[in-house]
Amino acid sequence: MKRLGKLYQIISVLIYTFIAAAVWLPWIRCGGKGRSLPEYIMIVKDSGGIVHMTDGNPELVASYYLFYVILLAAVLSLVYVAGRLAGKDIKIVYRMIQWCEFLYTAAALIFFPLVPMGWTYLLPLLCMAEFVLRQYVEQRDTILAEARVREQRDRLERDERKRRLYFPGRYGSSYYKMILKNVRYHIRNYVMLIVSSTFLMLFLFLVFALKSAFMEIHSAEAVTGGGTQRILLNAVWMGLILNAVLMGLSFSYYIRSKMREENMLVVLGIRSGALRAIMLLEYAGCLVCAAILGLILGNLFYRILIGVIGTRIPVTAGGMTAGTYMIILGIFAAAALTAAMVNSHVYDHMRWSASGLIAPGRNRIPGVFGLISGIIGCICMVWAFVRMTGRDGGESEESQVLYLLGLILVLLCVRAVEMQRIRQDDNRYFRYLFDRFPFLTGFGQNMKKIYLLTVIAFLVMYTFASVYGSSAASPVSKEQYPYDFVCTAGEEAEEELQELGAQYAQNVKQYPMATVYSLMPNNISLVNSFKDIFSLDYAAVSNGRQALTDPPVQIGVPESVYLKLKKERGEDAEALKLSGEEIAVVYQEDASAKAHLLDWSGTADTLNLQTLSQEAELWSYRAYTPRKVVREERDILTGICGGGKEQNLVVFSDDFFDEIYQGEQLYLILAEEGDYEAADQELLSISKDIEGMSYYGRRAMIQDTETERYLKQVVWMFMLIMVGVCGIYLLFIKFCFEMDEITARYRFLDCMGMHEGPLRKTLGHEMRPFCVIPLLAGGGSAVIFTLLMFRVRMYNAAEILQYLRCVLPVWVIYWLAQWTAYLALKKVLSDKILIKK
Amino acid sequence: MAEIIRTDKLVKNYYRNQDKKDPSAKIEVLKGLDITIEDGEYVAIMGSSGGGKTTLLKILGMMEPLTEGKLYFKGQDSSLLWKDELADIRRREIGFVFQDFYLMDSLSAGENIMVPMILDKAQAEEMKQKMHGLARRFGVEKLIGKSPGELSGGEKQRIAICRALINDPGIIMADEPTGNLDAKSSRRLMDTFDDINKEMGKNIILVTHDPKIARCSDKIFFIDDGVIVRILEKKEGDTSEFYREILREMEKMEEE
Ligand SMILES: Nc1ncnc2c1ncn2[C@@H]1O[C@H](COP(=O)(O)OP(=O)(O)O)[C@@H](O)[C@H]1O
Ligand SMILES: [Mg+2]
Repeated sequence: MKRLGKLYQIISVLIYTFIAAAVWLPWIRCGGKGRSLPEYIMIVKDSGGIVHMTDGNPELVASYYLFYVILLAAVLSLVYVAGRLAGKDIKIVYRMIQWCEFLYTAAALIFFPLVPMGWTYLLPLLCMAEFVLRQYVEQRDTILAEARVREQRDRLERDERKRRLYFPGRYGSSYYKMILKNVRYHIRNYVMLIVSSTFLMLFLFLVFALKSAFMEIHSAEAVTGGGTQRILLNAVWMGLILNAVLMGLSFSYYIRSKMREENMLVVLGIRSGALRAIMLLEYAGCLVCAAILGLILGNLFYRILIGVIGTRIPVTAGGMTAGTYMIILGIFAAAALTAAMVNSHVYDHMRWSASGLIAPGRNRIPGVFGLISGIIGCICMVWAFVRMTGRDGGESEESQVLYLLGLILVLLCVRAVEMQRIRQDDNRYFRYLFDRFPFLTGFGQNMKKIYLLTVIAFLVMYTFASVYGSSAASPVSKEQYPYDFVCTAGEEAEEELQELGAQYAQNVKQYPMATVYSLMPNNISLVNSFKDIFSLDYAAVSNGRQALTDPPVQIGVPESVYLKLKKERGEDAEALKLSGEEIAVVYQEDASAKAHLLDWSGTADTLNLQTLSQEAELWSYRAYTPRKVVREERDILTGICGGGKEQNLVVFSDDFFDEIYQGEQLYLILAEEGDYEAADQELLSISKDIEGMSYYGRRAMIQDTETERYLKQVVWMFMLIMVGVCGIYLLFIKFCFEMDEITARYRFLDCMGMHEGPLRKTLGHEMRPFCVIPLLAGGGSAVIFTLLMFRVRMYNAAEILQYLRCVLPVWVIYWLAQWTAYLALKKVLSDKILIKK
Repeated sequence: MAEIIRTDKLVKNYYRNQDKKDPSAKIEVLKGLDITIEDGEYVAIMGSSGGGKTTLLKILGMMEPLTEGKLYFKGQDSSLLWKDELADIRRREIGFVFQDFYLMDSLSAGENIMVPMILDKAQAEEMKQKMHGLARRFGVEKLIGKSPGELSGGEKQRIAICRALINDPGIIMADEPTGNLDAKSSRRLMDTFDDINKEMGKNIILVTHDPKIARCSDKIFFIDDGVIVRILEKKEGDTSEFYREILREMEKMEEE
């Protein structure tokens, strides 16, 4: 054994002692308390074994046995430390400890979500750090020697470089004049770049400003569910990604247009540093312009928006803190840098290939592969439709991704087959040569643009429009909160609440109820997990999975109460005729809520429910019983809580309800005219005294929901505009880049004696797919998805109309814009081709 | 005499789609050339079109990387030079007249002439003086304020020649510089090149199809399909014999 440093030995002993001792730290949360490992294992023993305790939930069982690996590691650590202290380095024990730690952590991370506390994942990192340290200590001398040699070599080279590349003096004013003149001449290219980054700034500013304005009047974020914070974070990520695409597109346009000049300067001997500086200066200049412009416009829009909203909600246009400005600028800079980085390799590639030959990419029209992809695509699409028809598969993003993937493959297949047939048939080939030129000579490239346009059309017409539209189509109103206060409490609050009723209320309704929890209240989809990670909402994720937080509370009522509630709201109700343990679910939500289940662990018609009192263990498998759901409906009987996630009604048969009833009461209170505030205060103080009581008031709820809706609408409107602009950009880029080539081609045909009519027709044929396919494929799919959405969200006719009223203008405007761009491009092209005689 | 440029088995391949792995995408343009150019020489390159003349000139001018072999510039191996050193050489020591002119649309003709000096951090006064001098010499004084889009081919060419000369480079490389010129300008250009070569002692490397122009040179490389098929050297003062030889050589190449 080599001579190890004293310090290393001490550190090593400390680390392994810690690893051994760590099992006595709180490892696992069990029964609401952090338990050490031995404690936990004893608890399991006492309750008759792990299988018994977890009801055989395989993940939990497996995780439990994995803990023994850690115990082994702890024992081995003790052995190792003892050896160390005795002056022996027991290599094999050392290795085994490390293996144990890694095995445990890898397994825990990848397979078993049971949930030791987060800090325990530090242990393998500690091991690793120790290992690295050991390696370093062992090889220090050689490492240092090598580093010294390398440094010397580097220094020599640096000096040499400096000497050889010495270029004294400063560029004169004519240098800067030259750059400026160049910029002015090509101003069009910069405009696109500036516009897209102004967009980003505007977006960031508006979102943050609105959020900080709403924060002041938005009461308890946690109560209302969604919350502005979440909307914001979600939106910022989406917006950033979209904007990066947008900026990327304009950036590549910009680079493309600069290529010739750059190349010329390079040939005339410009220094690479100077060239880089010019690029950077131009880019930074654009960004600064955009930032200023964005802030000014943002401020303007913000004030207008607040002016409009202010008539309904008491918000004022307050300033933002300097910190918020810094965050905005930071995000802006990060996005700009990302766009630049993503595009810099494009730039490099273009620059160096510009001196060589920029050949059109290799063109292969897929044959068999096209057919296979068509089959796979069909499968994907059908699968997505099947998912989309149930509330459980419902509106998840995965269905949409799956569908779009399928759509792309099918499009590829159809086009490929068409082109193959044209190519193989000589007659047809000559007839279609000019019409189908882009696809015959650049199949992949042009298909890519068509996919993008199709996806964009789908995003505009469904994905984003559905969020925007459904939230715009269901304004918050008294209808959604029929009572001033909704309160749930146990028996012990009865007296005080009745007193309150007598004092302030014109009407207090009191019904028996039972609190109901469902096992897995959230849809843990892949996309959601990623979104949670990206939205920095760590409360919602742990290892990319949903943490076991308290499940939302639903209200269980007997059928008789359900009928009374219905009558209260002036609706005819027919008896549900529930028998035994059958249940019915009333989703209390408006049209803006996404279709969802109360329990994602079951299927649509079973529900794992627990109806025990609060002390019960909410995460114990055994506590939940599957029940049969015989009926689902969407109706508002007491009020919307948590954006539809909480306080949905679970209706039991009267007999069964009597079995589970534990004295809880549901109070629906209508306050006297002027007494709302006083009653609110009173309720607040009561709810502080009595455990397990909760309530919400109509006014706060309406205000909160309204602010959230506004934020949501602004955000998603922006997304819509942004994607829409991307679509138009894409068209421009396609035809502006190729303008010279297309013009030359048609001039040639003109010179060869083609008549004007056929020329125009051919041009139309060539350009049309870029508008028609997205319209048919993207738009058509969006319409189908919208219809399916009506179904899974259980919209009624009025809601459908309302929704269409909000969304149809978006569709129409998008396609008008798209067609206008298309026609303008076509006109420019045909003007260029057919110079007036 | 010291050699100024020497190539050693110079090979240049282009690759379609930049695809270096696919052998069928390879276009062999130059196939192992050995060329030596001595200080003060006036060299012409002739040959069939598509034979690789422009490519050779671009490589000699260090605008284009070579695939194999070596290129020595004033004794230095070009592969050992940094990119910026190459840029410095292009800017200071080589004046280039391109076949397709390469003028910047955003700048006026006069400014285009000055670009190499601007990039060399020169003083504005000095630049203007020099630019006017050159413009006068090539009869483009009146065009200085115009933009390149408003010039004819011949005018552009003369602007490009002025630009090549403005940094007083030791070597002038020109790719068919008389292609767009009338007979008079053409003759004047030849005289200029002669002056530059004889009086200032600078190197000239010229690609041309015109035997009348080629006969002014000291040495001619005939290139066909990427290889040197013949090197003609002028014997002292014997211009007419040289001219006949050139014509003979051109005929021979036509026959093949
Ligand atoms: N950038 C390039 N990429 C691919 N091939 C090229 C490129 N430039 C020239 N070539 C090919 O190299 C050969 C020689 O070209 P060139 O040097 O321009 O000939 P010329 O003697 O007429 O000047 C030609 O066959 C041409 O097709
Ligand atoms: Mg040529």
